[in-house]
Amino acid sequence: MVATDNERELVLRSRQGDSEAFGALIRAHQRMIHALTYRMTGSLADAEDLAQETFIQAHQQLDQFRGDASFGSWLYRIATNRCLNWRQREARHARLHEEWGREHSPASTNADQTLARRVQEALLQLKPKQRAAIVLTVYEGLSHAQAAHVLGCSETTVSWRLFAARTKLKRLLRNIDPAGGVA
Amino acid sequence: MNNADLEKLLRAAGVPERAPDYWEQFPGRMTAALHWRAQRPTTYDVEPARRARFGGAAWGVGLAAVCVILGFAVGFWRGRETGITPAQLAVAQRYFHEIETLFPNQLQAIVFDEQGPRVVLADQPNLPNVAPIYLRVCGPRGCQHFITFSGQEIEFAGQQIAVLADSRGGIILLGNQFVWSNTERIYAGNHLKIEAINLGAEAM
Repeated sequence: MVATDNERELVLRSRQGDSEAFGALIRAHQRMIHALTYRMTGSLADAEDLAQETFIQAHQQLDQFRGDASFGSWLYRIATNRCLNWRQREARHARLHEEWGREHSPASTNADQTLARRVQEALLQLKPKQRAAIVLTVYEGLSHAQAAHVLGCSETTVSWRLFAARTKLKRLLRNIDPAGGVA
Repeated sequence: MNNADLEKLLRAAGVPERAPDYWEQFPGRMTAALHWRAQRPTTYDVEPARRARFGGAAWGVGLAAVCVILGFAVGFWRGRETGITPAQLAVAQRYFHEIETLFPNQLQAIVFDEQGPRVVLADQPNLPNVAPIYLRVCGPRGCQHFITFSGQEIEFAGQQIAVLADSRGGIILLGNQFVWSNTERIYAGNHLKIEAINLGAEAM
């Protein structure tokens, strides 16, 4: 997937110091980057910090964007590397349950919250590179080849990480069903 | 559980929703942060390999940025004893114009403290178009400088201070335990040293 003409134009203008152009690029990709950083950390605060770091790094390295991949893929790569270097702080980890109560909208049901919390906890128990493989392929819909490009490894490595991650997740989530109930 | 069941389960777990305001403001906050980073040499965190390739022009720009920041810091340092200086006013006016251009009718305050300039924005760009006010507030732990507007509140040393301007250009500050005016010379309170200039009355 290569960059669109519109993306190239916005990148070019951003390189020339046009903050509105870079703002448009952020607007187009902010949700997917926040979703990725949240899945990788399980914390809204850390997800926001990492999303900010991602866009700052992207801005600093705009001259390295060649357009042979989409701008989104390029951002995925930066964000994923940021997340893999992220070190979960123990104090924040201990507060995750507390955060869940605040972060979910009042409209969401207890079952939704329970399911989401259990899944996020299971994701956090994976090794970071396995978690990244799951997040990119399952949640972001990337193919193995695209995930390999983002992660900077071979497709075989991605497949192996996915196998290991799925095996562990099945064990961790074996007692719940998609309705949120505990079997 | 097979792979399809697992994926269905994973996808059913949503990401917590953020408020719509968050998404509207995030790009603006990012571009503002990038704007400040470009002006502050301490955040010049380019990778080492790339830094080596910078030529003379980049050194010139970097030197100019350092000079601006040094001038800004020296001006404020000198102002600790002598009050608000013309150099500080000039720098404050420049900052105000740059930020107001980026966020018209949304700027509540620019705060200058030991960590550098910080921008406080309203949720919506619907603030009245009034003249900016430059404040210097000093307490036992040091001084902070602000550019703000009549009707806004600033925070200093943990207390909220309301800022008001009257029709004659006078400025009144109301804290929890004090009231201060630059025209009536009234002051009762907690040993803060305050100076204020209505930038609308200055040539901007």
